[in-house]
Amino acid sequence: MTAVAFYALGSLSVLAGLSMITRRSPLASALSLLTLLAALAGVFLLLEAQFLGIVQILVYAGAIAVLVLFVLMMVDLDAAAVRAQAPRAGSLAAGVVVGAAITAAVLRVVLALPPAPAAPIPADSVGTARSVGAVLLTGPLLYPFEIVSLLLLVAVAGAVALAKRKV
Amino acid sequence: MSLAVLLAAKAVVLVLLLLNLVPLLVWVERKASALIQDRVGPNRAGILGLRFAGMFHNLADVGKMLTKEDIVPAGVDRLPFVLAPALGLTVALAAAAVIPVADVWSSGGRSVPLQVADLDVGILWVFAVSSLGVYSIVLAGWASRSRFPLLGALRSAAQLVSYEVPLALAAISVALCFGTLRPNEIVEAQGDLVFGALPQWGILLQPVAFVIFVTGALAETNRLPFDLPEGESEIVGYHVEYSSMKFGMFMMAEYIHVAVASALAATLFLGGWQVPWLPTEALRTHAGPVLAGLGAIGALGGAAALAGALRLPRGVTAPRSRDALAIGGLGLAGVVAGLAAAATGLGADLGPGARATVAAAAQALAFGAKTLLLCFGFVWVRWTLPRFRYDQLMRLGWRQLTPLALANLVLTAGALAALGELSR
Repeated sequence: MTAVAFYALGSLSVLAGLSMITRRSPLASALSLLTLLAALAGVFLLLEAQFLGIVQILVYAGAIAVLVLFVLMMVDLDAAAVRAQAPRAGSLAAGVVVGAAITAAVLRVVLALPPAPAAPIPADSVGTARSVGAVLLTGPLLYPFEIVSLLLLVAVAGAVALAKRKV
Repeated sequence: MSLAVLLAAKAVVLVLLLLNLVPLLVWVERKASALIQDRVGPNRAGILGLRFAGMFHNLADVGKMLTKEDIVPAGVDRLPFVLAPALGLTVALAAAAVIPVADVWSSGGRSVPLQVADLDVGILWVFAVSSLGVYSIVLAGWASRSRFPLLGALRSAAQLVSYEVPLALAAISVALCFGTLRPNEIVEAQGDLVFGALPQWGILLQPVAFVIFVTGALAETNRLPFDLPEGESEIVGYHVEYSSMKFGMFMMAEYIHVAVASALAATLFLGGWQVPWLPTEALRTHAGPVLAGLGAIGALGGAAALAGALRLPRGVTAPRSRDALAIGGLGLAGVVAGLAAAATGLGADLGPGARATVAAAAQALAFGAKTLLLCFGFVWVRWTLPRFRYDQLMRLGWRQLTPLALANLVLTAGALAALGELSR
Protein backbone atom coordinates (compact mmCIF):
# COMPACT_ATOMS: atom_id res chain seq x y z
CA MET A 1 0.00 0.00 0.00
CA THR A 2 2.74 2.44 1.04
CA ALA A 3 4.98 1.28 -1.79
CA VAL A 4 2.20 1.78 -4.35
CA ALA A 5 1.52 5.27 -3.04
CA PHE A 6 5.25 6.05 -3.02
CA TYR A 7 5.79 5.00 -6.62
CA ALA A 8 2.65 6.82 -7.74
CA LEU A 9 3.67 10.06 -6.03
CA GLY A 10 7.29 9.66 -7.11
CA SER A 11 6.50 9.19 -10.78
CA LEU A 12 3.93 12.00 -10.60
CA SER A 13 6.55 14.39 -9.22
CA VAL A 14 9.11 13.38 -11.87
CA LEU A 15 6.54 13.84 -14.63
CA ALA A 16 5.44 17.19 -13.20
CA GLY A 17 9.06 18.32 -12.98
CA LEU A 18 9.69 17.35 -16.60
CA SER A 19 6.51 19.07 -17.72
CA MET A 20 7.51 22.19 -15.77
CA ILE A 21 10.75 22.67 -17.71
CA THR A 22 9.46 21.56 -21.11
CA ARG A 23 6.19 23.49 -21.32
CA ARG A 24 6.32 26.73 -23.26
CA SER A 25 3.17 28.20 -21.70
CA PRO A 26 4.20 29.88 -18.43
CA LEU A 27 0.85 29.06 -16.81
CA ALA A 28 1.20 25.35 -17.60
CA SER A 29 4.72 25.49 -16.20
CA ALA A 30 3.53 27.11 -12.98
CA LEU A 31 0.74 24.54 -12.59
CA SER A 32 3.25 21.73 -13.14
CA LEU A 33 5.38 23.23 -10.39
CA LEU A 34 2.33 23.23 -8.14
CA THR A 35 1.67 19.56 -8.92
CA LEU A 36 5.31 18.74 -8.20
CA LEU A 37 5.15 20.49 -4.82
CA ALA A 38 1.92 18.72 -3.88
CA ALA A 39 3.33 15.31 -4.87
CA LEU A 40 6.46 15.92 -2.80
CA ALA A 41 4.27 16.89 0.16
CA GLY A 42 2.56 13.52 -0.28
CA VAL A 43 5.97 11.77 -0.16
CA PHE A 44 6.77 13.58 3.10
CA LEU A 45 3.43 12.46 4.55
CA LEU A 46 4.21 8.85 3.55
CA LEU A 47 7.46 9.12 5.51
CA GLU A 48 5.42 10.16 8.60
CA ALA A 49 7.05 13.60 8.40
CA GLN A 50 3.68 15.29 8.81
CA PHE A 51 5.02 18.70 9.73
CA LEU A 52 7.34 18.86 6.72
CA GLY A 53 4.58 17.69 4.38
CA ILE A 54 2.07 20.25 5.60
CA VAL A 55 4.59 23.08 5.64
CA GLN A 56 5.55 22.14 2.10
CA ILE A 57 1.94 22.77 1.05
CA LEU A 58 1.46 25.80 3.31
CA VAL A 59 4.63 27.65 2.28
CA TYR A 60 5.53 26.45 -1.20
CA ALA A 61 2.19 25.54 -2.75
CA GLY A 62 0.09 28.00 -0.76
CA ALA A 63 2.33 31.05 -0.87
CA ILE A 64 5.34 30.87 -3.19
CA ALA A 65 3.62 29.22 -6.14
CA VAL A 66 0.73 31.68 -5.73
CA LEU A 67 3.28 34.48 -5.97
CA VAL A 68 4.70 32.96 -9.16
CA LEU A 69 1.22 32.77 -10.65
CA PHE A 70 0.55 36.35 -9.53
CA VAL A 71 3.62 37.63 -11.34
CA LEU A 72 2.69 35.67 -14.46
CA MET A 73 -0.76 37.25 -14.45
CA MET A 74 0.68 40.72 -13.96
CA VAL A 75 3.22 40.59 -16.77
CA ASP A 76 1.04 38.36 -19.02
CA LEU A 77 3.86 36.77 -21.00
CA ASP A 78 2.84 36.33 -24.57
CA ALA A 79 3.02 32.59 -25.11
CA ALA A 80 3.46 32.99 -28.86
CA ALA A 81 6.41 35.35 -28.42
CA VAL A 82 8.03 32.91 -26.00
CA ARG A 83 7.54 30.09 -28.48
CA ALA A 84 9.14 32.07 -31.29
CA GLN A 85 12.24 32.61 -29.20
CA ALA A 86 14.75 29.85 -29.95
CA PRO A 87 17.04 29.00 -27.02
CA ARG A 88 20.46 30.58 -27.52
CA ALA A 89 23.65 28.54 -27.35
CA GLY A 90 25.06 30.69 -24.54
CA SER A 91 22.08 30.28 -22.21
CA LEU A 92 21.92 26.58 -23.05
CA ALA A 93 25.56 26.12 -22.06
CA ALA A 94 25.05 28.14 -18.86
CA GLY A 95 22.06 25.97 -18.01
CA VAL A 96 24.05 22.77 -18.52
CA VAL A 97 26.92 24.00 -16.33
CA VAL A 98 24.69 25.20 -13.47
CA GLY A 99 22.51 22.08 -13.70
CA ALA A 100 25.56 19.81 -13.58
CA ALA A 101 26.91 21.68 -10.55
CA ILE A 102 23.63 21.34 -8.66
CA THR A 103 23.29 17.66 -9.61
CA ALA A 104 26.85 17.02 -8.41
CA ALA A 105 26.15 18.75 -5.10
CA VAL A 106 22.95 16.73 -4.55
CA LEU A 107 24.65 13.47 -5.56
CA ARG A 108 27.49 14.12 -3.13
CA VAL A 109 25.01 14.34 -0.26
CA VAL A 110 22.94 11.36 -1.43
CA LEU A 111 25.97 9.10 -1.96
CA ALA A 112 27.37 10.06 1.44
CA LEU A 113 24.17 8.84 3.13
CA PRO A 114 24.56 5.65 5.13
CA PRO A 115 22.75 2.63 3.64
CA ALA A 116 19.26 1.83 4.93
CA PRO A 117 19.21 2.01 8.75
CA ALA A 118 19.22 -1.31 10.57
CA ALA A 119 16.09 -0.53 12.58
CA PRO A 120 13.12 1.47 11.22
CA ILE A 121 13.15 5.10 12.34
CA PRO A 122 10.57 5.70 15.12
CA ALA A 123 7.47 7.30 13.62
CA ASP A 124 7.59 10.63 15.45
CA SER A 125 11.34 11.28 15.51
CA VAL A 126 11.82 13.00 12.15
CA GLY A 127 9.82 15.75 10.53
CA THR A 128 7.17 16.29 13.21
CA ALA A 129 6.57 19.75 14.65
CA ARG A 130 8.36 18.77 17.86
CA SER A 131 11.48 17.30 16.27
CA VAL A 132 11.89 20.05 13.65
CA GLY A 133 11.44 22.68 16.36
CA ALA A 134 13.99 20.94 18.59
CA VAL A 135 16.57 20.83 15.78
CA LEU A 136 16.05 24.40 14.61
CA LEU A 137 15.47 26.21 17.88
CA THR A 138 17.45 24.38 20.55
CA GLY A 139 20.23 22.55 18.71
CA PRO A 140 23.44 23.76 17.05
CA LEU A 141 21.38 25.06 14.12
CA LEU A 142 19.87 27.85 16.23
CA TYR A 143 22.32 30.56 15.11
CA PRO A 144 22.35 29.72 11.38
CA PHE A 145 18.54 29.53 11.49
CA GLU A 146 18.18 32.92 13.16
CA ILE A 147 20.73 34.51 10.82
CA VAL A 148 18.80 33.25 7.80
CA SER A 149 15.57 34.65 9.29
CA LEU A 150 17.30 38.01 9.75
CA LEU A 151 18.52 37.89 6.16
CA LEU A 152 14.95 37.30 4.95
CA LEU A 153 13.70 40.18 7.09
CA VAL A 154 16.34 42.46 5.57
CA ALA A 155 15.27 41.31 2.10
CA VAL A 156 11.62 42.12 2.86
CA ALA A 157 12.52 45.54 4.28
CA GLY A 158 14.68 46.21 1.21
CA ALA A 159 11.87 45.24 -1.15
CA VAL A 160 9.49 47.58 0.66
CA ALA A 161 12.03 50.41 0.53
CA LEU A 162 12.59 49.90 -3.21
CA ALA A 163 8.89 49.71 -3.97
CA LYS A 164 8.10 52.81 -1.91
CA ARG A 165 10.67 54.99 -3.65
CA LYS A 166 9.00 54.64 -7.04
CA VAL A 167 5.58 55.88 -5.90
CA MET B 1 -9.10 -3.81 5.84
CA SER B 2 -11.95 -2.84 8.15
CA LEU B 3 -9.81 0.15 9.08
CA ALA B 4 -9.89 1.38 5.50
CA VAL B 5 -13.65 0.79 5.30
CA LEU B 6 -14.17 2.74 8.52
CA LEU B 7 -11.99 5.57 7.23
CA ALA B 8 -13.90 5.70 3.94
CA ALA B 9 -17.21 5.67 5.82
CA LYS B 10 -16.10 8.58 8.01
CA ALA B 11 -14.95 10.56 4.97
CA VAL B 12 -18.25 9.95 3.16
CA VAL B 13 -20.28 10.96 6.21
CA LEU B 14 -18.24 14.15 6.62
CA VAL B 15 -18.65 15.14 2.97
CA LEU B 16 -22.39 14.42 3.07
CA LEU B 17 -22.76 16.43 6.28
CA LEU B 18 -20.97 19.43 4.79
CA LEU B 19 -22.82 19.25 1.47
CA ASN B 20 -26.16 19.08 3.28
CA LEU B 21 -25.19 21.99 5.47
CA VAL B 22 -25.05 24.18 2.35
CA PRO B 23 -28.81 24.32 1.64
CA LEU B 24 -29.46 24.69 5.36
CA LEU B 25 -27.13 27.68 5.56
CA VAL B 26 -28.64 29.21 2.42
CA TRP B 27 -32.08 28.85 3.99
CA VAL B 28 -30.90 30.39 7.28
CA GLU B 29 -29.27 33.19 5.30
CA ARG B 30 -32.51 33.99 3.46
CA LYS B 31 -34.78 33.74 6.47
CA ALA B 32 -32.40 35.68 8.74
CA SER B 33 -31.98 38.44 6.17
CA ALA B 34 -35.76 38.63 5.91
CA LEU B 35 -36.03 38.84 9.68
CA ILE B 36 -33.40 41.58 9.86
CA GLN B 37 -34.96 43.55 6.99
CA ASP B 38 -38.49 43.06 8.32
CA ARG B 39 -39.66 40.91 5.41
CA VAL B 40 -41.30 37.49 5.25
CA GLY B 41 -38.59 35.86 3.15
CA PRO B 42 -38.99 33.04 0.64
CA ASN B 43 -42.14 31.01 1.21
CA ARG B 44 -43.59 30.15 -2.20
CA ALA B 45 -41.87 27.03 -3.48
CA GLY B 46 -43.55 23.84 -2.34
CA ILE B 47 -43.96 20.15 -2.98
CA LEU B 48 -47.52 18.74 -2.76
CA GLY B 49 -48.56 21.82 -0.85
CA LEU B 50 -45.76 21.42 1.66
CA ARG B 51 -43.58 24.50 2.01
CA PHE B 52 -41.64 24.13 5.27
CA ALA B 53 -41.07 27.87 5.60
CA GLY B 54 -39.27 28.24 2.30
CA MET B 55 -36.94 25.29 2.77
CA PHE B 56 -37.84 23.94 -0.68
CA HIS B 57 -36.53 27.04 -2.44
CA ASN B 58 -33.13 25.42 -2.18
CA LEU B 59 -34.35 22.39 -4.13
CA ALA B 60 -35.72 24.74 -6.76
CA ASP B 61 -32.34 26.49 -6.85
CA VAL B 62 -30.49 23.23 -7.34
CA GLY B 63 -32.84 22.31 -10.17
CA LYS B 64 -32.23 25.71 -11.73
CA MET B 65 -28.45 25.51 -11.41
CA LEU B 66 -28.29 22.01 -12.86
CA THR B 67 -30.60 22.62 -15.80
CA LYS B 68 -29.43 26.06 -16.93
CA GLU B 69 -27.31 26.20 -20.04
CA ASP B 70 -23.69 25.55 -19.14
CA ILE B 71 -21.85 28.18 -21.16
CA VAL B 72 -18.11 27.90 -21.70
CA PRO B 73 -17.29 31.16 -23.48
CA ALA B 74 -15.23 31.00 -26.66
CA GLY B 75 -11.55 31.72 -26.10
CA VAL B 76 -11.26 30.53 -22.49
CA ASP B 77 -8.47 28.22 -21.37
CA ARG B 78 -10.69 25.20 -21.21
CA LEU B 79 -8.93 22.91 -18.74
CA PRO B 80 -8.24 25.45 -15.97
CA PHE B 81 -11.65 27.03 -16.58
CA VAL B 82 -13.41 23.74 -15.86
CA LEU B 83 -10.98 22.74 -13.12
CA ALA B 84 -11.23 25.95 -11.06
CA PRO B 85 -14.70 25.51 -9.48
CA ALA B 86 -14.10 21.81 -8.79
CA LEU B 87 -10.79 22.65 -7.13
CA GLY B 88 -12.46 25.25 -4.91
CA LEU B 89 -15.10 22.80 -3.73
CA THR B 90 -12.62 19.95 -3.18
CA VAL B 91 -10.28 22.10 -1.13
CA ALA B 92 -13.13 23.43 1.01
CA LEU B 93 -14.31 19.89 1.79
CA ALA B 94 -10.83 18.49 2.45
CA ALA B 95 -10.01 21.16 5.02
CA ALA B 96 -12.61 19.72 7.41
CA ALA B 97 -10.94 16.29 7.56
CA VAL B 98 -9.00 16.93 10.76
CA ILE B 99 -11.77 18.46 12.88
CA PRO B 100 -12.98 16.11 15.62
CA VAL B 101 -16.75 16.04 16.21
CA ALA B 102 -16.48 14.10 19.49
CA ASP B 103 -13.93 12.47 21.74
CA VAL B 104 -12.46 9.10 20.72
CA TRP B 105 -15.19 6.44 20.93
CA SER B 106 -13.76 3.60 22.94
CA SER B 107 -15.28 0.48 24.42
CA GLY B 108 -13.95 -2.98 25.17
CA GLY B 109 -10.47 -2.39 23.72
CA ARG B 110 -11.69 -0.85 20.48
CA SER B 111 -11.34 2.84 19.91
CA VAL B 112 -12.50 4.94 16.99
CA PRO B 113 -11.40 8.56 16.65
CA LEU B 114 -14.42 10.56 15.48
CA GLN B 115 -12.56 12.55 12.87
CA VAL B 116 -11.34 11.53 9.42
CA ALA B 117 -7.63 12.19 9.92
CA ASP B 118 -5.92 12.51 13.30
CA LEU B 119 -2.84 14.47 12.25
CA ASP B 120 -0.04 15.60 14.54
CA VAL B 121 -0.25 19.03 12.88
CA GLY B 122 -4.01 19.09 12.22
CA ILE B 123 -4.40 22.82 12.72
CA LEU B 124 -1.74 23.50 10.09
CA TRP B 125 -3.50 21.08 7.74
CA VAL B 126 -6.60 23.28 7.73
CA PHE B 127 -4.53 26.33 6.84
CA ALA B 128 -2.41 24.50 4.27
CA VAL B 129 -5.40 23.07 2.44
CA SER B 130 -7.54 26.17 2.56
CA SER B 131 -4.61 28.25 1.30
CA LEU B 132 -4.92 26.20 -1.90
CA GLY B 133 -8.37 27.77 -2.34
CA VAL B 134 -6.59 30.77 -3.83
CA TYR B 135 -5.80 28.67 -6.90
CA SER B 136 -9.48 28.17 -7.59
CA ILE B 137 -9.95 31.94 -7.74
CA VAL B 138 -6.74 32.76 -9.62
CA LEU B 139 -7.34 30.02 -12.18
CA ALA B 140 -10.95 31.09 -12.67
CA GLY B 141 -9.88 34.66 -13.30
CA TRP B 142 -7.00 33.72 -15.55
CA ALA B 143 -8.78 31.06 -17.57
CA SER B 144 -11.73 33.34 -18.30
CA ARG B 145 -9.47 35.34 -20.66
CA SER B 146 -11.37 38.50 -19.91
CA ARG B 147 -10.34 41.74 -18.19
CA PHE B 148 -12.88 41.91 -15.39
CA PRO B 149 -12.51 38.39 -14.01
CA LEU B 150 -8.73 38.80 -14.11
CA LEU B 151 -8.91 42.02 -12.09
CA GLY B 152 -11.43 40.43 -9.73
CA ALA B 153 -9.17 37.41 -9.26
CA LEU B 154 -6.14 39.58 -8.48
CA ARG B 155 -8.18 41.52 -5.93
CA SER B 156 -9.53 38.36 -4.30
CA ALA B 157 -6.20 36.56 -4.26
CA ALA B 158 -4.55 39.56 -2.59
CA GLN B 159 -7.32 39.60 0.02
CA LEU B 160 -7.09 35.87 0.75
CA VAL B 161 -3.29 35.88 1.00
CA SER B 162 -3.34 38.97 3.26
CA TYR B 163 -5.85 37.69 5.77
CA GLU B 164 -4.26 34.26 6.03
CA VAL B 165 -1.45 35.88 8.01
CA PRO B 166 -3.42 37.19 11.03
CA LEU B 167 -5.68 34.13 10.90
CA ALA B 168 -2.78 31.71 11.22
CA LEU B 169 -1.04 33.86 13.86
CA ALA B 170 -4.21 33.87 15.97
CA ALA B 171 -4.53 30.10 15.71
CA ILE B 172 -0.85 29.64 16.58
CA SER B 173 -1.19 31.63 19.80
CA VAL B 174 -4.04 29.31 20.83
CA ALA B 175 -1.93 26.26 19.94
CA LEU B 176 0.88 27.73 22.04
CA CYS B 177 -1.43 28.00 25.06
CA PHE B 178 -2.36 24.33 24.85
CA GLY B 179 1.08 23.18 23.73
CA THR B 180 -0.10 21.07 20.79
CA LEU B 181 -1.21 21.31 17.18
CA ARG B 182 -3.36 18.16 17.34
CA PRO B 183 -7.02 19.27 17.23
CA ASN B 184 -8.29 16.56 19.57
CA GLU B 185 -5.66 17.42 22.20
CA ILE B 186 -6.53 21.12 21.93
CA VAL B 187 -10.18 20.30 22.59
CA GLU B 188 -9.28 17.93 25.45
CA ALA B 189 -7.19 20.64 27.11
CA GLN B 190 -10.16 22.98 26.98
CA GLY B 191 -12.07 20.72 29.35
CA ASP B 192 -9.86 21.75 32.30
CA LEU B 193 -11.24 24.37 34.64
CA VAL B 194 -9.61 27.69 35.48
CA PHE B 195 -10.18 29.12 38.97
CA GLY B 196 -11.94 25.81 39.61
CA ALA B 197 -15.10 27.09 37.98
CA LEU B 198 -14.83 28.17 34.33
CA PRO B 199 -13.99 25.76 31.51
CA GLN B 200 -10.62 26.72 30.03
CA TRP B 201 -11.91 27.56 26.57
CA GLY B 202 -9.68 29.24 24.02
CA ILE B 203 -11.85 32.34 24.02
CA LEU B 204 -11.14 32.77 27.73
CA LEU B 205 -7.36 32.40 27.38
CA GLN B 206 -7.08 34.23 24.05
CA PRO B 207 -9.91 36.76 23.65
CA VAL B 208 -7.85 38.96 21.30
CA ALA B 209 -6.98 35.98 19.13
CA PHE B 210 -10.70 35.10 18.91
CA VAL B 211 -11.59 38.55 17.57
CA ILE B 212 -8.72 38.41 15.07
CA PHE B 213 -9.64 34.88 14.03
CA VAL B 214 -13.30 35.66 13.42
CA THR B 215 -12.44 38.83 11.49
CA GLY B 216 -9.91 36.96 9.40
CA ALA B 217 -12.36 34.12 8.83
CA LEU B 218 -14.96 36.58 7.51
CA ALA B 219 -12.38 37.82 5.00
CA GLU B 220 -11.18 34.34 4.07
CA THR B 221 -14.71 33.17 3.35
CA ASN B 222 -15.44 36.24 1.18
CA ARG B 223 -18.34 37.28 3.38
CA LEU B 224 -19.52 40.77 4.13
CA PRO B 225 -18.01 43.10 5.27
CA PHE B 226 -15.18 41.69 3.16
CA ASP B 227 -17.10 40.36 0.16
CA LEU B 228 -15.16 42.30 -2.48
CA PRO B 229 -14.33 39.06 -4.34
CA GLU B 230 -18.02 38.56 -4.99
CA GLY B 231 -19.86 41.80 -4.40
CA GLU B 232 -23.03 40.23 -5.76
CA SER B 233 -24.68 43.37 -7.02
CA GLU B 234 -21.99 45.98 -7.63
CA ILE B 235 -18.50 44.61 -8.17
CA VAL B 236 -17.52 42.36 -11.03
CA GLY B 237 -15.84 39.35 -9.49
CA TYR B 238 -13.65 36.49 -10.69
CA HIS B 239 -16.58 34.30 -11.66
CA VAL B 240 -18.58 36.51 -14.05
CA GLU B 241 -17.89 34.20 -16.99
CA TYR B 242 -19.27 31.18 -15.14
CA SER B 243 -22.78 29.89 -15.46
CA SER B 244 -24.95 27.01 -14.36
CA MET B 245 -23.54 24.54 -11.83
CA LYS B 246 -19.96 25.77 -12.26
CA PHE B 247 -21.11 29.06 -10.74
CA GLY B 248 -23.09 27.04 -8.21
CA MET B 249 -19.93 25.23 -7.15
CA PHE B 250 -18.25 28.54 -6.29
CA MET B 251 -21.24 29.41 -4.13
CA MET B 252 -21.25 25.97 -2.48
CA ALA B 253 -17.54 26.30 -1.75
CA GLU B 254 -18.22 29.62 -0.03
CA TYR B 255 -20.85 28.12 2.27
CA ILE B 256 -18.66 25.11 3.03
CA HIS B 257 -15.83 27.51 3.88
CA VAL B 258 -18.21 29.24 6.31
CA ALA B 259 -19.07 25.91 7.93
CA VAL B 260 -15.41 24.82 8.15
CA ALA B 261 -14.29 28.19 9.52
CA SER B 262 -17.05 28.00 12.16
CA ALA B 263 -16.08 24.44 13.05
CA LEU B 264 -12.42 25.44 13.37
CA ALA B 265 -13.30 28.48 15.48
CA ALA B 266 -15.45 26.26 17.71
CA THR B 267 -12.58 23.78 18.01
CA LEU B 268 -9.98 26.40 18.87
CA PHE B 269 -11.98 28.85 20.95
CA LEU B 270 -15.30 27.38 22.13
CA GLY B 271 -14.14 24.07 23.49
CA GLY B 272 -14.93 21.98 20.40
CA TRP B 273 -16.87 18.90 21.43
CA GLN B 274 -16.58 19.65 25.17
CA VAL B 275 -19.89 19.77 26.99
CA PRO B 276 -19.20 22.47 29.60
CA TRP B 277 -18.33 20.99 33.04
CA LEU B 278 -18.91 17.44 31.78
CA PRO B 279 -15.70 15.69 30.67
CA THR B 280 -15.91 12.50 28.61
CA GLU B 281 -15.54 10.25 31.69
CA ALA B 282 -18.45 11.96 33.47
CA LEU B 283 -20.61 11.70 30.37
CA ARG B 284 -19.88 7.96 30.20
CA THR B 285 -20.49 7.17 33.86
CA HIS B 286 -23.74 9.15 33.88
CA ALA B 287 -24.79 8.01 30.42
CA GLY B 288 -28.36 7.30 31.61
CA PRO B 289 -29.16 10.82 32.86
CA VAL B 290 -27.31 12.28 29.84
CA LEU B 291 -29.52 10.27 27.47
CA ALA B 292 -32.57 11.41 29.47
CA GLY B 293 -31.41 15.01 29.11
CA LEU B 294 -30.90 14.64 25.36
CA GLY B 295 -34.37 13.07 25.12
CA ALA B 296 -35.85 15.97 27.09
CA ILE B 297 -34.21 18.48 24.71
CA GLY B 298 -35.61 16.56 21.73
CA ALA B 299 -39.06 16.45 23.31
CA LEU B 300 -38.95 20.20 23.98
CA GLY B 301 -38.01 20.85 20.34
CA GLY B 302 -40.86 18.63 19.18
CA ALA B 303 -43.28 20.43 21.51
CA ALA B 304 -42.15 23.79 20.11
CA ALA B 305 -42.78 22.56 16.55
CA LEU B 306 -46.19 21.24 17.57
CA ALA B 307 -47.09 24.55 19.22
CA GLY B 308 -45.98 26.41 16.10
CA ALA B 309 -48.10 24.15 13.91
CA LEU B 310 -51.13 24.69 16.11
CA ARG B 311 -50.78 28.47 15.63
CA LEU B 312 -51.14 28.12 11.85
CA PRO B 313 -54.65 28.64 10.44
CA ARG B 314 -56.59 25.40 10.59
CA GLY B 315 -59.03 23.78 8.16
CA VAL B 316 -58.57 21.88 4.91
CA THR B 317 -58.79 25.00 2.74
CA ALA B 318 -56.45 27.09 4.90
CA PRO B 319 -53.35 28.19 2.97
CA ARG B 320 -50.80 26.19 4.94
CA SER B 321 -52.92 23.32 6.23
CA ARG B 322 -50.56 20.63 4.94
CA ASP B 323 -47.59 22.40 6.45
CA ALA B 324 -49.46 22.50 9.75
CA LEU B 325 -50.17 18.78 9.52
CA ALA B 326 -46.61 17.83 8.56
CA ILE B 327 -44.86 20.06 11.09
CA GLY B 328 -47.31 19.09 13.81
CA GLY B 329 -46.83 15.41 12.99
CA LEU B 330 -43.05 15.73 13.05
CA GLY B 331 -43.28 17.65 16.33
CA LEU B 332 -45.46 14.95 17.86
CA ALA B 333 -43.03 12.27 16.68
CA GLY B 334 -40.18 14.30 18.20
CA VAL B 335 -41.99 14.50 21.55
CA VAL B 336 -42.67 10.75 21.58
CA ALA B 337 -39.11 9.83 20.54
CA GLY B 338 -37.62 12.26 23.06
CA LEU B 339 -39.74 10.92 25.90
CA ALA B 340 -38.89 7.33 24.90
CA ALA B 341 -35.16 8.18 24.94
CA ALA B 342 -35.58 9.86 28.33
CA ALA B 343 -37.39 6.80 29.72
CA THR B 344 -34.67 4.49 28.35
CA GLY B 345 -31.98 6.67 29.89
CA LEU B 346 -33.61 6.65 33.30
CA GLY B 347 -34.80 3.05 33.31
CA ALA B 348 -32.50 0.76 31.34
CA ASP B 349 -28.98 -0.24 32.35
CA LEU B 350 -26.63 0.77 29.52
CA GLY B 351 -23.66 -1.33 28.42
CA PRO B 352 -20.18 0.20 27.95
CA GLY B 353 -20.63 0.50 24.17
CA ALA B 354 -23.96 2.27 24.55
CA ARG B 355 -22.45 4.56 27.20
CA ALA B 356 -19.62 5.58 24.86
CA THR B 357 -22.13 6.16 22.06
CA VAL B 358 -24.36 8.34 24.27
CA ALA B 359 -21.32 10.38 25.38
CA ALA B 360 -20.18 10.80 21.77
CA ALA B 361 -23.69 11.82 20.71
CA ALA B 362 -23.86 14.46 23.44
CA GLN B 363 -20.45 15.80 22.44
CA ALA B 364 -21.29 15.82 18.73
CA LEU B 365 -24.49 17.74 19.53
CA ALA B 366 -22.51 20.26 21.62
CA PHE B 367 -20.01 20.68 18.79
CA GLY B 368 -22.80 21.04 16.22
CA ALA B 369 -24.59 23.63 18.34
CA LYS B 370 -21.41 25.72 18.71
CA THR B 371 -20.62 25.47 15.01
CA LEU B 372 -24.14 26.42 13.94
CA LEU B 373 -24.16 29.32 16.39
CA LEU B 374 -20.97 30.67 14.78
CA CYS B 375 -22.46 30.08 11.31
CA PHE B 376 -25.43 32.16 12.36
CA GLY B 377 -22.98 34.82 13.52
CA PHE B 378 -21.56 34.91 9.98
CA VAL B 379 -25.07 35.42 8.57
CA TRP B 380 -25.90 38.05 11.17
CA VAL B 381 -22.76 40.06 10.35
CA ARG B 382 -23.50 39.88 6.64
CA TRP B 383 -26.90 41.54 6.98
CA THR B 384 -25.76 44.09 9.54
CA LEU B 385 -22.49 45.63 8.32
CA PRO B 386 -21.76 47.53 5.09
CA ARG B 387 -18.86 46.57 2.83
CA PHE B 388 -15.29 47.78 3.25
CA ARG B 389 -13.56 49.67 0.46
CA TYR B 390 -10.53 47.87 -0.98
CA ASP B 391 -7.92 50.19 0.57
CA GLN B 392 -9.69 49.97 3.94
CA LEU B 393 -9.64 46.20 3.67
CA MET B 394 -5.90 46.12 3.03
CA ARG B 395 -5.16 48.65 5.77
CA LEU B 396 -7.20 46.70 8.30
CA GLY B 397 -5.44 43.47 7.34
CA TRP B 398 -1.83 44.60 7.20
CA ARG B 399 -1.67 47.62 9.48
CA GLN B 400 -4.04 46.60 12.23
CA LEU B 401 -4.84 42.91 12.39
CA THR B 402 -1.35 41.57 11.54
CA PRO B 403 0.56 43.72 14.08
CA LEU B 404 -2.12 43.00 16.67
CA ALA B 405 -1.86 39.27 16.04
CA LEU B 406 1.94 39.42 16.18
CA ALA B 407 1.87 41.35 19.45
CA ASN B 408 -0.64 38.88 20.85
CA LEU B 409 1.58 35.97 19.84
CA VAL B 410 4.72 37.51 21.36
CA LEU B 411 2.88 38.41 24.58
CA THR B 412 1.42 34.91 24.81
CA ALA B 413 4.81 33.30 24.28
CA GLY B 414 6.39 35.67 26.81
CA ALA B 415 3.72 34.99 29.43
CA LEU B 416 3.99 31.24 28.91
CA ALA B 417 7.79 31.40 29.16
CA ALA B 418 7.49 33.44 32.37
CA LEU B 419 5.11 30.82 33.79
CA GLY B 420 7.55 28.09 32.77
CA GLU B 421 4.96 26.43 30.52
CA LEU B 422 7.16 26.29 27.42
CA SER B 423 9.74 23.83 28.67
CA ARG B 424 7.34 20.87 28.47
